[in-house]
Amino acid sequence: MRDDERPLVARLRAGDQDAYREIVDAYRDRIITVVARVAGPGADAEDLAQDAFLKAFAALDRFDGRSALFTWIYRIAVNTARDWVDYRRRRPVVPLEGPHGGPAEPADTGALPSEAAERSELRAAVRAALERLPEPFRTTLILREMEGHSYEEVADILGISIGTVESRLFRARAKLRALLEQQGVRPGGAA
Amino acid sequence: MSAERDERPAHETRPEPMDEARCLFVFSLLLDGRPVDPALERAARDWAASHPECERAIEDWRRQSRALSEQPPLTASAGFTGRVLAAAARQGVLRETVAAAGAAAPALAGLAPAPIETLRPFARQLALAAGIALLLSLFVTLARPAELRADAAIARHRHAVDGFRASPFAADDIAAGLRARLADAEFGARPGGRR
Repeated sequence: MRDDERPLVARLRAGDQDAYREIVDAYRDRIITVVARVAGPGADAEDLAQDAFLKAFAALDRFDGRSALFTWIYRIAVNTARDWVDYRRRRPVVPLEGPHGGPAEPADTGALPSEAAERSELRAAVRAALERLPEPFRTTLILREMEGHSYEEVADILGISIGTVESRLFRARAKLRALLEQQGVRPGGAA
Repeated sequence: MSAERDERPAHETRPEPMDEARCLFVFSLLLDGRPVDPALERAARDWAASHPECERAIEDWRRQSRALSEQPPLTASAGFTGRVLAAAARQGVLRETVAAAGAAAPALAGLAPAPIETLRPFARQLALAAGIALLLSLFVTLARPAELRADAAIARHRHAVDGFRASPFAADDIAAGLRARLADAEFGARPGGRR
């Protein structure tokens, strides 16, 4: 726990409701973003984020201060989203447009699009490929590439070693590229 | 952190000659600014320079990495914080002692659990009432005619005692009647003494 967090944690433990409000206000956007990314489409990110906050509040006595308060709540949120993904896999809901939420956008191999349009298209294709990337590579890649965490933070959040983070990222990148190629997309240019 | 087994592939942990997988592993680390042994980095760069497919893969990784980092973040909808705090209050996960320096959240008005201080006077009155009830109960029990229960001989005629209790006679009269009954042969008394 950071030194500047000690008074806030003490207020939370004393039941100061303003402290609860401060925590939610400060972290809500990042928590909603990460649960949306980890849980993927079909999940109600705000519901999952609310669930994560409630779990954190209920488990406040178990916060031992070894990590920052945000990291602790963030870890709970990531695990909440991963639990939801597991639950969804066990009880799949087949959407009307197909098993993967519709076909990925095909790469435009015709006329050269502008750079902005090309990047927007690539973002959509990467997002679609990311949905098909298996766990645990998916979450590791999200935490590193989309959330911008260091290897040490990813290891701490997922409870794995740095070496495992290195390995998972290497494999995740290779698998994501292969999935993009399956979709007919070459990140570096035309398929 | 858990003691999970290191998942690094064998080609990374063993000092082997460079190949495509090893080269890409090194570049995966370099993309993230991780420290790599200079000799290993040089060997990987040399390998990539002489293998176009390896260079293409690294370039693809760079682009997909940029595409991932450009995904826009989300923002909470209006009222999210209030909904979370209201749900926390409903589920009872907020602490009971509420001594906020500022005003309490409007969303929590009427939803927060009652502070313990407000319950204390009620608990005191409840304890006092229970004490009074106990004393009254003891008094009523002790005030019952003791001789009817103390005399072992009379207790043997319990059915008769119960009948007398329901009668309008005073306790002294009942005791006298019972003693007479004890001496009465009709009720099993032996001639010339007690049974």
